[in-house]
Amino acid sequence: MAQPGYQKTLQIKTTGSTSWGDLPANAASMNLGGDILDDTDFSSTGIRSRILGIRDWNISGTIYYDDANTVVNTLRSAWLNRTRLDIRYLPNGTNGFTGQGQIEAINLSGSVNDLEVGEFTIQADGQLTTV
Amino acid sequence: MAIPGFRATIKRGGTPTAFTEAQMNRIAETTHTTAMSLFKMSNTTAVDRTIFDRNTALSFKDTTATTISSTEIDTIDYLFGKVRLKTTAHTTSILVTGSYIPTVDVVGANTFNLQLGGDILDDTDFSSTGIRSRILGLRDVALTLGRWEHTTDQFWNDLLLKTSTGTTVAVVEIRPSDGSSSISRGWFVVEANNLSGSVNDLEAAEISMQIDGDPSTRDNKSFTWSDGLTSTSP
Repeated sequence: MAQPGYQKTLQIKTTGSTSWGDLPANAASMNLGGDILDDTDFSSTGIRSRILGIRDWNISGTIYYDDANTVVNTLRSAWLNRTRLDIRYLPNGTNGFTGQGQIEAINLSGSVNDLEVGEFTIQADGQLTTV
Repeated sequence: MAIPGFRATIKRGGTPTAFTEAQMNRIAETTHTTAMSLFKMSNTTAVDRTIFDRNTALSFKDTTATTISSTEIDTIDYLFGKVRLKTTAHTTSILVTGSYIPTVDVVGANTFNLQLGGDILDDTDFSSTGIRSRILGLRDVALTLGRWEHTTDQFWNDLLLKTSTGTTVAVVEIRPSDGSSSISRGWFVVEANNLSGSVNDLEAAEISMQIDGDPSTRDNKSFTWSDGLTSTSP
């Protein structure tokens, strides 16, 4: 059965902390990929063969910016202090993926007729495991 | 809770203004376990003097007018008027002489986009268990403002008034919610000021700026948030 998007939860914490915090996100995406290495040789029967090399992942999201929200401040401080973040991507709010990453970018924007929003991207810095 | 965009405030720095022996009050130092003390610029005047001009040397004295040696200074937060000393000898306040940057609202501003980014450097090696590892290298900040064009257009002057030694740099402050203590400030170079208008609309401007990072490795002279850095190493 399909998974409704509103049940998703995006959580972060500083490495070493035991408390996860929910990001006030309204959209998030996770990309799991890797280097596809072509190892076709003369033994081929006419179709390319491949192996999956080094893998990679990243998480992007959009949050409602709120500087009174300590989790938002954790995200921002990680960029400011060049520290890794632990992140959880939980499609149903309970199960999903967890790993450590580096903040690649945080883009804040606002206009008089809208809400303050922030778009962020976290790139992998190590293993991804399931939760 | 989300913040409505209309509550953001955007300010721009003006001409550096000298001051002599202004008071800095001691505030709680919770970041460091070693014996250090933190002082913040006192705002007893109607003008906010918490942005120190990074091109003007600062000097500090204690309340008996004795000069505080530079060897006693750990870091100076030029963007938020703070100094951290390597001593706890001064219990209530110290005095500072230098220049501050006054700020005014950017007239007509109605949108902003503050981009905090950096170079993600892949340091994956043969010890990898199969997932890439990375570190954050050189960081960068870009700011784009949208405003209704106004006759007192300081940004246009910045583009025109390039000095022989380099481009004009301006301090810009972004406060996502007025009344909040969370403020971002940085020194920016104005890259472009694009104007547009049609017969049935207002004259509008889009101003793009890039951060001008200072080579100082310890003092806040480039970009930071008011509740940002927790260490003395940027």
